[in-house]
Amino acid sequence: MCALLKVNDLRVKYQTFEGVVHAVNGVSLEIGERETLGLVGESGAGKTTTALSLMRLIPSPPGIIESGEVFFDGRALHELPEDEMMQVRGNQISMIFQDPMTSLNPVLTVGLQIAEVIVAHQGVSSAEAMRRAESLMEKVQIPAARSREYPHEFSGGMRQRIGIAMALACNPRLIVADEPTTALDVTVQAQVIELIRELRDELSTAMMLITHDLGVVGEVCDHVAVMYAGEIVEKGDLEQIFDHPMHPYTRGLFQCVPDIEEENSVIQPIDGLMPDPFHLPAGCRFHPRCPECLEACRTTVPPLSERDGHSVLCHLYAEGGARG
Amino acid sequence: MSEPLMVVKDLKKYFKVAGGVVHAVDGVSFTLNEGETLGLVGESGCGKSTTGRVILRLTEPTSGSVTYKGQDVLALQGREMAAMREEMQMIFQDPFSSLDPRKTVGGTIGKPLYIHKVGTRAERERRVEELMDFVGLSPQLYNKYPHELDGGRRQRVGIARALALKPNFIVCDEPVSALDVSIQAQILNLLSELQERLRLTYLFVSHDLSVIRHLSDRVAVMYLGKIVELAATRDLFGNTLHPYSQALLSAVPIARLRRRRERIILTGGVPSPINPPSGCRFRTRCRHEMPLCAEQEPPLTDRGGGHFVACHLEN
Repeated sequence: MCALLKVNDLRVKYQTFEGVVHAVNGVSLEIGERETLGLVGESGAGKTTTALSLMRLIPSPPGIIESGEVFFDGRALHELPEDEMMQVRGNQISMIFQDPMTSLNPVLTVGLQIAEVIVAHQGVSSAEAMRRAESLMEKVQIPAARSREYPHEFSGGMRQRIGIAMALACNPRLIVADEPTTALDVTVQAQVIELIRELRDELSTAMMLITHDLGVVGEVCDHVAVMYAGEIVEKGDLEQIFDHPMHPYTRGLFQCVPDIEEENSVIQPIDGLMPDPFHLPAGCRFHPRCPECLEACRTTVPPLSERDGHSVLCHLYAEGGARG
Repeated sequence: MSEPLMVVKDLKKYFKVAGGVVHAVDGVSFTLNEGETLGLVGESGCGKSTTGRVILRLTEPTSGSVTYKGQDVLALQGREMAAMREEMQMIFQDPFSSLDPRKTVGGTIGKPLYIHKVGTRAERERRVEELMDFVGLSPQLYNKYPHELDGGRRQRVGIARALALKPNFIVCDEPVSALDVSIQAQILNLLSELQERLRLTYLFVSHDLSVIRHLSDRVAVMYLGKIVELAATRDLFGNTLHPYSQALLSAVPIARLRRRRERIILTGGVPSPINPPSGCRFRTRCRHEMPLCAEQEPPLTDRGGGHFVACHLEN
């Protein structure tokens, strides 16, 4: 299958007063047509930086994309001039942001905000754009009559629906959703997840879903990439990652969430702290917290091992390793 | 069964706002037994945090009563209330805003000891070191400031501060919600350990049902200022009776495959607490709504074995 999105060896750093933060350190991933990839990790893992970098939306300064190639439908996005990139954003690839409170413009009616995207990308009259905006609102289950209202007049869940309507405005082929349900209450989260799934299937859009919640991944995604300290440490399809996690960090993540279906669930925390982004550990970035750390892990960067599309960055699974 | 440690009766807290009166907590009653954890769960705005704050009188209730070891907490004044606060402490949600940025770790943990004039200065310092050891903070952090610590360590400082006066009862208000999952698990285990060692009683306020199930002995589910269901954890999760609790539980995404339950998707949002629906407050979103629900408020009744439900169904 030809990938819709292909990212090769993306490296991004932030130049700050306190020093250089290596936020993304050689990320490679692919998303096929109609696929949904979950990008999972804790705060500071580099998930959002990865997403913003491939959209070329990383604020610079302080962000610097050091290297990396991004191909979308065969086109090299990293080489496009800015005006052409603008036509890709919103039109071909769009984003849904985490915080529905701050990602909308408070002084524009929601109808106008959705219509703005359509005018910018589709070259239609503003009356036509408004008409389409209203039908998009119906699609995300908000009465079209409310298009003249301002963001503060809507609840959090409804604001997120408006964000989804904006993302869908130009029938993009890929949606990058950055923690789209994290700010919402669980019952509202369930509504929004349901909506995202329905619309994605109806419009056959591919998706990259950034989240820290493995539960949400299980509900929405068919592929998963786990990030730690700027690297993808494990990647595979949903069954591979959920049923046979290999990387000690991935396994640790599953063990530290209490199981809601079990009476006396035991949780096993991952020891230690997230690494200091200014001074990432040598060798495997996870080795100071790893319960299975070997001598090689302290000094040598682990190689990527792959079997049946399930890849892992860990010495244990390298050729000649304990589980190689 | 022995006397409960705390009895809360018909507790109400209303806030006056521009548009009317917010019924944040509207007639909440429960008991807490010594050494147990009561989980208080619900979505934003249901009144769970306000309930915790009112019990500790961080904000004064509109009406109701709180009895702790037979003493009427709400009637206490001045010095008596100060003494009561040694027994009852709180751990806050946000380890970023609940610590004074200008105070060191040692200063923060020692402050309650200083205010309550416990021991000499040297004794207080020793006690702070002991507390830091208790919660897993390295002694080298004594002179650090909050901004030099990550969220997990800051939360440990908040926990040590809450333990300083050797309380019996602690309100934990979303203590792990602001933390990453790997750190969250560390703090949850710490709270369980401390409870066992010190025989603490927790009122554990959280929106996270998995965390609630993991930690609580009994659970109360709140909706729009009222408790809709209260039961032993096993009963609440195994035999969920209130339609709201059922919807809430079914909405939680599970990080395991092939375990998907039937999902009850609630329509609409939570009604305004300024003008809550008549009768049962959940009826506007309930799939079992009957005419009776609008007319009469369902009382919280025992359906057997201490499983309380406020619902007209099967009554």
